[in-house]
Amino acid sequence: MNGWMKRMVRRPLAFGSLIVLVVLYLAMAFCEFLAPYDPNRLFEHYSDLPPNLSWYSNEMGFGPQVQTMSMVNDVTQQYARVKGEYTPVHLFAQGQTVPMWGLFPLSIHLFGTDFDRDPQAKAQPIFLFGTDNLGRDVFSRILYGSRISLTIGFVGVFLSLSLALVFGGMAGYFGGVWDWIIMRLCEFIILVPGLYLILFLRSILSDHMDSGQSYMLITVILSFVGWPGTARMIRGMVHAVKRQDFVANARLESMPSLSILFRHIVPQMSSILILSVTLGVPGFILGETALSYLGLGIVDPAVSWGSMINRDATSVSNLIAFPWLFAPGIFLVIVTLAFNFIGELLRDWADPNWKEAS
Amino acid sequence: MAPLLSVQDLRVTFGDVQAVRGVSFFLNSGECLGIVGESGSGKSVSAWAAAGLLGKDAKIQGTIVRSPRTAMIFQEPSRSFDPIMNLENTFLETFRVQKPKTTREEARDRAVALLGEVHIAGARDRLGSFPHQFSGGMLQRVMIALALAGDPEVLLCDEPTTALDVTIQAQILALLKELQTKRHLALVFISHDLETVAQVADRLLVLYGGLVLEEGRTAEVLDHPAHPYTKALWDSRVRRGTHYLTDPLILIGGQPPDPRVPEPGCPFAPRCGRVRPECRAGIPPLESAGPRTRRCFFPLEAL
Amino acid sequence: MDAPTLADRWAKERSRHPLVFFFVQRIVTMVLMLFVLGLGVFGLMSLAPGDIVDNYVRSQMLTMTDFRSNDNAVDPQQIAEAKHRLGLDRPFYEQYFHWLKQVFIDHDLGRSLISRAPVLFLVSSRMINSIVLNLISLVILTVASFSLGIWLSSKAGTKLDVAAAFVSLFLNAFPGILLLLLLQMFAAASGWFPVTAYPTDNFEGNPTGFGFSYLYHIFLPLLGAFLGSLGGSLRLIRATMLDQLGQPYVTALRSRGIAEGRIRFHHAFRNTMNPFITGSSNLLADLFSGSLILEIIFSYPGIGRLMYEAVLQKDINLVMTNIMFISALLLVGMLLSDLALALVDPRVRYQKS
Repeated sequence: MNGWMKRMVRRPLAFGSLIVLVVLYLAMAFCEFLAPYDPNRLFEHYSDLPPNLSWYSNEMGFGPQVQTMSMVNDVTQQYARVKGEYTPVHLFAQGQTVPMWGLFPLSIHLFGTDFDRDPQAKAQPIFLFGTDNLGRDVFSRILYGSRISLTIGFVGVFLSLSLALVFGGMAGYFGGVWDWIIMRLCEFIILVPGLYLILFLRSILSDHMDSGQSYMLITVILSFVGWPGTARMIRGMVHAVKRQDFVANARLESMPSLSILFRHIVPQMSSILILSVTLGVPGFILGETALSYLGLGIVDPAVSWGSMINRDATSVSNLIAFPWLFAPGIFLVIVTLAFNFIGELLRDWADPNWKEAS
Repeated sequence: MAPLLSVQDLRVTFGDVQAVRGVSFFLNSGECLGIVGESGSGKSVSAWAAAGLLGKDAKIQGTIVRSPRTAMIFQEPSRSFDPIMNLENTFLETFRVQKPKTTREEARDRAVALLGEVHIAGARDRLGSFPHQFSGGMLQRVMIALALAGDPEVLLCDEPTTALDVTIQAQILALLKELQTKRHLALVFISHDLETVAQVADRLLVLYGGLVLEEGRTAEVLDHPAHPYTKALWDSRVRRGTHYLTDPLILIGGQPPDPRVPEPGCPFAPRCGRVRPECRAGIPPLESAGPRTRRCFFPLEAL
Repeated sequence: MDAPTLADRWAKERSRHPLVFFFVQRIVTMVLMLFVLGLGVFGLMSLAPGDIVDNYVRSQMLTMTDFRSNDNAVDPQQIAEAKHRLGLDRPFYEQYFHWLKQVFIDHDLGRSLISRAPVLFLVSSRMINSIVLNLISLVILTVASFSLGIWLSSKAGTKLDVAAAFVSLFLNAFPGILLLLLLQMFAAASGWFPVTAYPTDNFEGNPTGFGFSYLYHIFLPLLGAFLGSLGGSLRLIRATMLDQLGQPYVTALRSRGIAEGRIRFHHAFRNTMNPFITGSSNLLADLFSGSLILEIIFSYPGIGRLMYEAVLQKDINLVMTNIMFISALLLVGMLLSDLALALVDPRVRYQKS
């Protein structure tokens, strides 16, 4: 364990990516605490508000604060800052009550204003990344949306990898007819280009689903499209490992086939598997984003970064007028880049020769 | 007459890897010099340095004087050809190095002649074939023919038979000897297999850990080895007609040296049966008397 | 002396015209695969939950006179009858053969449910658009990655190389959708480029004008697609070039005095085409898949956007035909790349004699 930590520190890009990812995933886990508001909460008088955090004012000096804005143009939804009116932002503020992890109520959030605590005061709510056209806090939506966007990668990769291991392993180990059937099946799935196949599968399934079902559905579809590629690779490796002595030894002791596969062959392939996972996750995240962008993925009231982009970032005029709506896109870029940088590092470790020749 | 190839005090380093630490040898007209050593002994690197084939990452020191008519053949014939070029074009390309205006007809004629010299019959019909359509042994012959295209006086052979099976090995060795006589070629034959080298070499050079340990006429070196390593190497050969139970292989214990961390003293000291404290203190100097040379504090034979 | 058997004559003919046999074998495989794919598609659709088929039937029923009622309400029994009439209650393989017959014998691919336009017309016009776009994309990508890849391989290990590796990684990792969206935003904000990817002028009236306008319109989306795929191709070519330059045959060539430039271009480069061509069918599939999003974002009238609209509108006929067409297209692409490989690599053409 110590060894790889040391090696990682020497590669600042990958190490930084790892830290960023850890932070984001932790944030996802604790999003109820970190987000000041419920993601579906509508702030009626605050729609299309730009980010309103500032750090300094004459009235209140240094410190996080929110300046009151009022709408000047109803049609274009433009706001102007109201001079002199500021609301302080507190850490560990009392705010809206939300169920933490769906279990127990929590009303303390990392930061907030007195907006909820004291409706009488002229406190303004804080929107770190502004609001969307329904007046929902973009920052909170990004945090809650990360639950779907960040986890779908792992769930999908897990499913896809399991399918690939089972089918690829069987094909490689048993060979013969099984090999032929499974390989043909893989070829068919690979034949239809990814997004077309996804759309097709999505189209033959009902679209009256709740958010939980649609999440599973998307994951299943994406995994189904993704497993053949890895399966072919696993089959090749199983073929190669099969010829080595120690598998023959295991067979002599008459172990059942499946446990041979898992106990002997998988550890050999562990480095490749880790690589597959690391590079597969961003693929799944982007797949969900694409589906949600097309309106075929996550639907309201569930939030994902893809669905946010679909709602708010598709119209160009929208984006130009309200650029903060692109924030989920930025997070998406950060996450995919991070996974890829780490994956690149892992690839260098697994096979130092792949990059350059002598 | 001046030697056709002269290497003096060659040192080659790749970063922190000291592959060759002071090797000298020469090659006279018409003779065959055999260079023997384990992997990592520096034998191939020395030959490549002598041929001028090392890349930018090699730091080379020492003096190399070689004839401009030097050719080389290599270890894996099946990988030593451009797979998408047929034989005719390969020859044509090589001929055009010396004579850029060579026509296809000329090339074909010359190629058939060269291929005849290496005993490939019916060559004219096979000029359109590609490397993957030939066996390893045939490809090695073709490689020799290509090497002969420039009418060389020196032919460097880097483990030419190692990748071939035994019967083919014998054929190639015979071919090389034949060419040595017929064309008055000087050969340098490099191998890790002392027996193979012994069949073709007039003189032997034994390398270990980037240094020359022994040199001399083949018969003398093998009958009266001066260095313990040479003797051990010769004794460890597989003798035909023996059985492993009655005549077990005599192995040299231990591991070859790591070129990144050379021994302070004699490179063979860790594995030598006759080692004494002085052997580890400093590298023994090279001592020669006439054609015989050895580098050992306590040699088996006096000079 | 026995007369040569059929098998002997077959083997002899086969060795005399290796390319032709290769070609024929691949076409046969291709047709078979399409056939089985169609079966699979029909089969999957038969597994679809009931309401899809019901919706389809309902919309079909609106056009069938004897089912039309005043308030357009239908009861389950009428749906069942309509299903039977349309042959939708028969097993999926029967439906498939019926469809095949309809396609190949009657030359009728059916009509779109929504627009009532003949499917063939819709698909073929859109298909051509997509093919043109992706082919241009492929050509530019190939030329760029080869030139850059070869050049970079000569600079291996230098700081430039490291920087280029980073840029490639970055481009590869950057989400394609976002890149396209950003480019579109740029177009809208700066006004230098059009926001849609298809010109509004007519082709007939002014072919050259159309041509230029077309290139002007597709420039930004093509740039997005190009940047997204460049990283991967570039690294592949660079790595393959370096790998080739380290091969024993290169040393052998050098030892015979062949010039370095010739080694690089005539030998190493030609050998790197091999893995690139092998991967090119994959590349084409990825380009098509990516162009689907591109077509939607930039409103380009291609087959991707058609597919998307068909899916949104639950136009099953169109969806299915689209899938078949795009798969057929990709199979043709695979065939062409196999052919290209056979032309370039003699090891594929000639088996060991």
